[in-house]
Amino acid sequence: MTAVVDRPEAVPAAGPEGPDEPGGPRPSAPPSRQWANKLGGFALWAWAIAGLIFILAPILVTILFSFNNPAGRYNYTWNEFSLDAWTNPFRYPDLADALSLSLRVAAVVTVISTVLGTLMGLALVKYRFRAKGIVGGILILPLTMPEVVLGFSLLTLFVTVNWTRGFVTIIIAQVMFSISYVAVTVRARVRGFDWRLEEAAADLGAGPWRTFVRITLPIIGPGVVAAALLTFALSLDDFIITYLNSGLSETFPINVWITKRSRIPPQINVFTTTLLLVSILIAVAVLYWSHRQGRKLAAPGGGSDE
Amino acid sequence: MARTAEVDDTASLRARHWWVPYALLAPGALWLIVFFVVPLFSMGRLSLEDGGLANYANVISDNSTVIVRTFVYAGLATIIALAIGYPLAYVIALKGGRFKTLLLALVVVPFFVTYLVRTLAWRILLLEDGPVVGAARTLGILGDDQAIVGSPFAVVLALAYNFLPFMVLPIYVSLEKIDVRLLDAASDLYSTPWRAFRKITLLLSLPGVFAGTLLTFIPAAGDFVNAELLGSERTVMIGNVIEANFGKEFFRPELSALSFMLMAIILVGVIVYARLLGTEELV
Amino acid sequence: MARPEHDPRILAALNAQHPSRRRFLGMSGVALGGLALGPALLAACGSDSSTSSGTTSAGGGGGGSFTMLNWPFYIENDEPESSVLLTGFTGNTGITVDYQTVIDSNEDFNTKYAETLASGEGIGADLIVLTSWNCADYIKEGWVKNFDPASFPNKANVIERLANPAWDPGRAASIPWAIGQTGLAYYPDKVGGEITDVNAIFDPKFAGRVTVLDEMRDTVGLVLLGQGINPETATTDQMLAAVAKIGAARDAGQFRKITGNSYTEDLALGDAWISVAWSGDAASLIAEDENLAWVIPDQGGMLWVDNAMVPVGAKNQANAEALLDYLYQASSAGPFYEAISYIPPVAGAEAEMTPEGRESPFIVPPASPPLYEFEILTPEQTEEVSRAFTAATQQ
Repeated sequence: MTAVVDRPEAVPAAGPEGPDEPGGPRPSAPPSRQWANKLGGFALWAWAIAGLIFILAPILVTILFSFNNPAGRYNYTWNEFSLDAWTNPFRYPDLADALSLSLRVAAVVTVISTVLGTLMGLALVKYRFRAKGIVGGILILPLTMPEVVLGFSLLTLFVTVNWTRGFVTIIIAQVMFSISYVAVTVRARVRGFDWRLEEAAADLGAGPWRTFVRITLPIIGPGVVAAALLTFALSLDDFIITYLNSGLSETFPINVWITKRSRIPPQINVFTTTLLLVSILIAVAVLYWSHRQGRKLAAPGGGSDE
Repeated sequence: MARTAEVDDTASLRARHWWVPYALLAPGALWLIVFFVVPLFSMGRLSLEDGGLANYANVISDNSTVIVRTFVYAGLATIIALAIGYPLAYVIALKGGRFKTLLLALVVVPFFVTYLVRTLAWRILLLEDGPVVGAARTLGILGDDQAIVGSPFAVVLALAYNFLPFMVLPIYVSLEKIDVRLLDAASDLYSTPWRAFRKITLLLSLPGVFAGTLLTFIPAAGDFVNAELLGSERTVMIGNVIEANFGKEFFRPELSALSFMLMAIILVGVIVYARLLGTEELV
Repeated sequence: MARPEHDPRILAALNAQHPSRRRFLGMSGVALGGLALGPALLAACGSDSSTSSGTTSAGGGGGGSFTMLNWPFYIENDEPESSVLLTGFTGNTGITVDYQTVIDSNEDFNTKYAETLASGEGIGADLIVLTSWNCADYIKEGWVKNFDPASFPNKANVIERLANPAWDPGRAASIPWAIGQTGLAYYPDKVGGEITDVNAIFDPKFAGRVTVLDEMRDTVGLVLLGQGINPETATTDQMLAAVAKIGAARDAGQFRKITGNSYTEDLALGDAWISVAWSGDAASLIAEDENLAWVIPDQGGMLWVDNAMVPVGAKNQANAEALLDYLYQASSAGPFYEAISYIPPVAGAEAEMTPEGRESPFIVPPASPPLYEFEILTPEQTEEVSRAFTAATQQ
């Protein structure tokens, strides 16, 4: 009989008398206990599956309602099946513009944050230096504060210096919290690597550029790519911090928020579903690629631990 | 090659030139200082405008219901997320086998759908003419005139939902790192799987639980989207007060004080929480 | 916290697995980073890219364009593409309109744009529509530009009654877009019959099912009428008392939401059963759902005027005025106001409507119940009552 943990080398369950001396197989548990264990196991699985359904239900609803032709202006009730939103996705120019703005903002934010964050992550993981603890602390802090506080405090800065909110302030705000994500991700991915290899390479005569390309880059590469993709996704989706600092500019989530009072068209679901599918595709591709990278690097004994 | 000890300093270098790490840090650190640290000071200064410390007293008395309500909702949402998320993480990490990545992906997939749209989907699911409310009314849980949308239940449920991946992932990671042999030994030693779980697995997953609960509670406490989309006047949270009034110049000192209150309460809460879980475990 | 007492193997393995605080966040980072999320490659084509101020031109037209910010339900179907007024205008002049239904309430608009306007910077719009009391402030502050008579000759067609308000003599900088009423929109089958008393909004039977407006003058005006007070002559104390009553009801959970124009969403979905509503909104919603009803309560309703103005910093003032000029012909105005169900401010418009239009209570309100305009407040009164109202409804 296996216990809760399912392992290939299953060990007989302990006897009913409680934790006693270790070692040696014990007599199997009585049938009632075995039955209780099975029931417990079953309940656990059932609850987990219910949890999965809970998680996926709204997603399915979102996708489904992109095929709805709503009776009124709000896409809340199923009316009739229609491909209209898919054949006519750009029907609402302000929505399409907002999406375009979101994508452009995300691109800029990703580039800036990835560069700045990677440098920080590298410094923190690679070197010993005195301010390490403090810097690490400041880095983590934005991740532990609610977005509304981060966003509002940044707004107070902009208001105090009379900086009009718009495209630039959105970027500033998003880079601000993205740096932390990038640094933490890069740091976590790269942890465990023995940097003395770099020194060894230098001692062996490799120039700094060559060392960087041949040793450092492949090591930090997957982490940097992961961080960049994470930043892009976070940027597209960010609402609270962006909303408080966007002035009159509208990103995709902001446009949905503002216009939802007068209409909620299925085009929103069309864009959302498309973003979903593309994200999944890219995530799969990246996972596949990093899996292969991992296998390539695993042989010589170094490499990125997943 | 898994390392089990803290690796921060053992394999890192003393830089060739002392300024190298600082040079790398500078651009990012500068950005953070200017756009994260300094704003906290400008918000602090603003919170004392037109009234000084009295602003804080006013804010607390004007918004006492909202403040209490916010933390109650965030707390409940975290508990629900834990109740749903822990077993899920457990099953995936320890019983997922080949399907681990796929299952984990399913948990994370909601995040690929824009926050607002996922929450609007809940509005659809919980619509008064919808299946969920219909079922609840048939079962007698809900009166014929009662609705779910607009109630605290809807807001708390949506909060738990939206931050569920933040709960599941850290717990999953910590469970996944548990040495297999430990679990075998545990099932060896303890009479019931539940005891084995309590004594070994649960303890080892505590770091993940700690991270997960914080990553859920903190953003939930500052949220306004769920309360706005699924709530009503009686579910107003701190975030809603800020969102409704952030454009009004005369209100900003009060909102600044309110934000600091939120931060302070969270900070105190986190410290107490860390103590409760036993800091030796965490340091 | 109890630790496994017995097996040294376990203790040793546990120590080896010793967690640390830094590890959590590292773990979280790994967890988040390990499941890299992908960028979207969907490129928006078919629309021009936005400028940093967030507004765009609606595409080539040859005759230029301008941007208009307006309230919901103020053009036919709320859709620029099918609006007879806008398409007719574009066909006539070649000017395209970037029409944005972004105004939700006067307060909201003010908080969003006041600072920018005060600085003299443009807000990215050439035409905005706000309620009279707000327009009065804008004109006083110098946040709007005067009309150029040459581009807007039809201004003379404004109805007599509104041609010369004290706050904008001769309509130098503002012109009415719509005249509306504030009353109650409700579902008779949900509230158990007809409503004629404005105090129904305070009826505990409907707790959590009522929405009121965050427009102080509309909500306080109706509450005053419910107390038998004339909103055109109420004292500050009476207004504050009404505000207190609203605040108390809100704290008791009577109101589902206190909103700007977004009440239409809750109403349309049936989440709200009774809403303090604007006439044209109600007309449009009733056209979509016959179960909804509209009433001006027996105690009376509010009357208000929304006016179009050109904000400072507008880059296409002439184009904007061209639309106003096009609107202020009876031939365009008649069908337009019939479609949006508001009282037309253009002389002769009613003659151009269908008989049904002329009989609609939204367009030609009956003589009774009476309609009142909220009195003009002094700046001190405004400050005091507005602040009290905001505090009562937002905290």
